[in-house]
Amino acid sequence: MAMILCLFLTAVLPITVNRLLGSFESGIYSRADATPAVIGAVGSPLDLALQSLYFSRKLENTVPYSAALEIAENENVRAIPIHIQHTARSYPIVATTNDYFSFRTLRFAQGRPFGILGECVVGATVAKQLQLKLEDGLLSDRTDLLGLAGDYPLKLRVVGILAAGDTADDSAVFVDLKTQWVIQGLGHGHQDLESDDQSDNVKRQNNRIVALPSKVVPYTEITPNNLASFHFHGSLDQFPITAIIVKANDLKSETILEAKYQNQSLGLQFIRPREALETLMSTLFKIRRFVNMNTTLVAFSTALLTGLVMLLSLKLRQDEMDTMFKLGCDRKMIATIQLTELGVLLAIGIGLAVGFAVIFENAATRLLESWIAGQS
Amino acid sequence: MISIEALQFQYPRSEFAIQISALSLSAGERLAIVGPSGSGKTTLLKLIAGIERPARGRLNICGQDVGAMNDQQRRRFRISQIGFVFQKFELVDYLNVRDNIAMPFLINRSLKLTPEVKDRIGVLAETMAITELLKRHPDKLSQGEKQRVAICRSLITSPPLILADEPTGNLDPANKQIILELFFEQLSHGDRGLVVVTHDMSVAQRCDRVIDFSTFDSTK
Repeated sequence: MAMILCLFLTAVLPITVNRLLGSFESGIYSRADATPAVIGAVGSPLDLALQSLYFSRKLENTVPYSAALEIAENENVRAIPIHIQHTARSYPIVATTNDYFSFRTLRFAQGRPFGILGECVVGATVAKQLQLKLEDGLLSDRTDLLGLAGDYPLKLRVVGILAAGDTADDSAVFVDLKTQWVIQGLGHGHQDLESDDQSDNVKRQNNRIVALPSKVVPYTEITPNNLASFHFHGSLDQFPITAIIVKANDLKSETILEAKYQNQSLGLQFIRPREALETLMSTLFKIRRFVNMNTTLVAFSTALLTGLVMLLSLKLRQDEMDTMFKLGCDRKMIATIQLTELGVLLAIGIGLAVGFAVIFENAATRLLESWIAGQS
Repeated sequence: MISIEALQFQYPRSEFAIQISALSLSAGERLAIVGPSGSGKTTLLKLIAGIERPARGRLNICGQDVGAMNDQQRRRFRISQIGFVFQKFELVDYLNVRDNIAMPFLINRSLKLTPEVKDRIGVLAETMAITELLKRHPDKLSQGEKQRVAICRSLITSPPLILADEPTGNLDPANKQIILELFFEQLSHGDRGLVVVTHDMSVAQRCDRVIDFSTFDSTK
């Protein structure tokens, strides 16, 4: 038992780390490869890549929406703006266009893409964890609980639920850019606060009935009745977005685009997510190399220990072996029995390690992804 | 059953040697070998069993020239013709009593563990009064019970010759008498020969012939 535990502990770390990093590497690179280029504000290329791919923490610097419109004027380039500033029940709200769904080849398990202001599409994990179904409401989180001029939560209406894809899209809430700008306070509507109907404002508090003033509303909601009243002050072109996912149809267009943003004088940068992530991955591979090097040393000492244990075991069992020989057992068979026993021990130890690695691979990959996203 | 003529043996890199000019044992005969430690009694058992190979002389056991056999032939001869009983029982702790009795069939491919053999295990266990112990492991048995199991193991292949090396050496007097009764009763079935090395005169008295190796012309 101790021998199996020893073999298990020796094998489990390298097997788990290698499987985990292998799985993580293929996952992160496949998403990066599906996102050939991203344009965003000048800053850390890694942060920009992680935000565009994994919707990690919000970026401080934004770019005007006009940048996306300008790129989209080139018919050989597909430009998908994304803007991530808020969360809903802690899941990132990703403001984009419906083009994003076809770009990522996302499939709808239920419902449809968002159409009007206030509608949202939720990823499979969000729907499962928050037990959301179509037409349910989902409140955006307040960014500043203490600020008097802080943004009001917007009640989003779920119109679509994505099928699970085992990517960051599963844990996101997708809305139209304009909806995001409403959440941000750049656009607003006028709710009917003069109505006599105050039934919604009657609350029970410490066994007392409390009637709140009709002008106090706990959140904003866009309904068919007030939809028309929503408007934006200022030019939409100048409203912020955090990144533009870019896919050129040909190499020439991509090269021109890259050249245009190369000197960063426009306050924008052009990045290739794979290249940006390679710096991160190289750190992880250094960890893997260290683990593997350490494993070599541990494996060597374990092999010595195993050899010693086997020798002691053989010494202890010498009488048993002699008896078997006296009874007529072939010495080759005795050796085969001993080797088989060693093989069984090795198989159980390594088998347990592989089993452990397989069971924890998925959970650990997600943990690693969320850790990576949190590092940006 | 045993016919030894002009036998000579010496361990490699050792001064110790034995030589036996003539020794024979007829079918069903029981021979006790007594003598001081180091006089070559156990070595003689090993030669008879084909574990050691004589340097010279003729060694005919159960009608076969054991001295002329190669290693594989001697192993096959041993497992089919010889039953062993050891002083320290030599049971395998991780096997239960049933498997210990069946051990010759488990370690040699030339023997098949047929249903008849399994039945014989039951019969032997019953005659040695250890039926209820068949599923136990040796570390849960008393010394007397262990020797009963070892005797069953020596008889399971129905060998014509039993070699016993101090079979009562680890038994208390009460157990010794019971075990000897059972052992010699089993030997009485058929023409089964016995060569027993012992310091125990009560064992020697039950045999047909006794050879004292201290006076026998076997050592030098």
